[in-house]
Amino acid sequence: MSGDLHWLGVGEIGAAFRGGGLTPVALVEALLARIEALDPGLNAFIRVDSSGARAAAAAATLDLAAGRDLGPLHGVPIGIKDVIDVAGMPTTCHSQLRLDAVAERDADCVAALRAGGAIIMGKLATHEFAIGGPSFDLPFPPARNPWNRDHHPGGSSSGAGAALAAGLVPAAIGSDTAGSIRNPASCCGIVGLKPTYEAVSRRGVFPLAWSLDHVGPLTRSVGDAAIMLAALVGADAAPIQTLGLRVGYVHHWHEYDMPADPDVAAALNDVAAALAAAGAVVSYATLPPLEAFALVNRVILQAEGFAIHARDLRDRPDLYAARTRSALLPGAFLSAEDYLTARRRQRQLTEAVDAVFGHYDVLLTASSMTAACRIDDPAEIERTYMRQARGPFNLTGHPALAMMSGLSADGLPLSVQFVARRGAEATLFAVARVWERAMGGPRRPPMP
Amino acid sequence: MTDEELAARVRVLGLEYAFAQFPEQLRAAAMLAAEEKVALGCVDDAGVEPA
Repeated sequence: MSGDLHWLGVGEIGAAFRGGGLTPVALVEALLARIEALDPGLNAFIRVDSSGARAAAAAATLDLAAGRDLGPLHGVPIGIKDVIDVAGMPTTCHSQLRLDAVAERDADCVAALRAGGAIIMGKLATHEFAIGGPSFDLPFPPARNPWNRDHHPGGSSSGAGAALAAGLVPAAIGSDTAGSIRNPASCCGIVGLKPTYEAVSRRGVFPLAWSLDHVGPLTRSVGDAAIMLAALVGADAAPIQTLGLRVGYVHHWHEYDMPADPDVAAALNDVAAALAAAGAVVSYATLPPLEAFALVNRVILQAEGFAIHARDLRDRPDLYAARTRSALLPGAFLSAEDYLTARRRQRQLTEAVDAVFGHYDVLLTASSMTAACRIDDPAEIERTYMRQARGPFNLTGHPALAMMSGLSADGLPLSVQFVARRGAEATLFAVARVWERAMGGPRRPPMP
Repeated sequence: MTDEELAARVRVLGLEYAFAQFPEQLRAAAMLAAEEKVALGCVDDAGVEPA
């Protein structure tokens, strides 16, 4: 087998391995060559573990040939966001502060993937400490968007978004505290899943805010996200029937609370119409105002984030990117009362969303209110990064999946978010598959 | 918040070195936090924390 190996998804790779036409060695070599050719213009990887990947591929090739099959991830190459520990490699968090912080053991999520036979290709770029935005004052350059390299790829799992969209890896693991898996999925036209809070272990993942941090997969298709989640949590999601599923369309968030760009709103209407055409019962749902969630998310994130970084911000603040300092320092000025008030509000908002799920099986919302802006326009990044509807579900812990909803006039991905009850990721996958089929399958950027 | 009030607050927080290096960022952070306190309802409009 040859040709477009780099566009194969996780499920397709598994079938090709077992059909005898492809081996892990051939796939890893093809991806390493593509990374070498394309990544200098994308900066998706901070570190490529060529030798480790080749050794793991050789072992997986022998195992599969001998019938020692560890399951759907056996021999599948995967990238890891560089806030997640991989034994023997530094977890730099894209920061000058941690260039030599070599991990002694794998994070639980990496260990789970390795136990399933996955091949770790290397560490992927992030916003520094998974906060802020693309910065040019860090030891590694910011990742760029394969759909248009002058634009940012979202973040903070920015390298994962770029690597997936460019066909450098078929899957990656990211972290999400206010949308950091779903933002790059939205900007890069891929699939990003923030699972239910604490469904995936955070052990070995450098924290940003303990109460809001989630770990989850980024893939190019919905089916691949389901395979990755099953490997991470050790259980398959049972198939769900979409006929008659009640979909609450949270229209007021992007129509009134934080008006989205017209093409974003039009694409969301297309998604709602496609779900209705497929037999779902779609109606408008009302949640608390988006700004109420955003404020509480911000206060908790800043307070917990400052607690994590207080010592370094006191002793060596000059080693952080300016954007990171700006994002973390407000937490210094928040009191215990502020934090505890925010935590009480978090509970109230969570109860409000739970109550809405008494009437719906899944919610359809905007993800980003705009397409990705230019990476060299800090004012526009500052304005547009906050124009999103992902943070609410870090607060509430409900599983949320972001994926492409269409393309802007400039040819950049637009996005939609689906949200389900806690533990009901299978419902997300079912609804997202309907939309994926209606779109004609996953879309790729204009590159070979 | 006056310069003196900010400097006093920074001393309490142990952020003197950061303040010396990045005074405008500290001031912006303090202002943002003050806005968030008001929005959360933790303080009244005069900035006084309720008992």
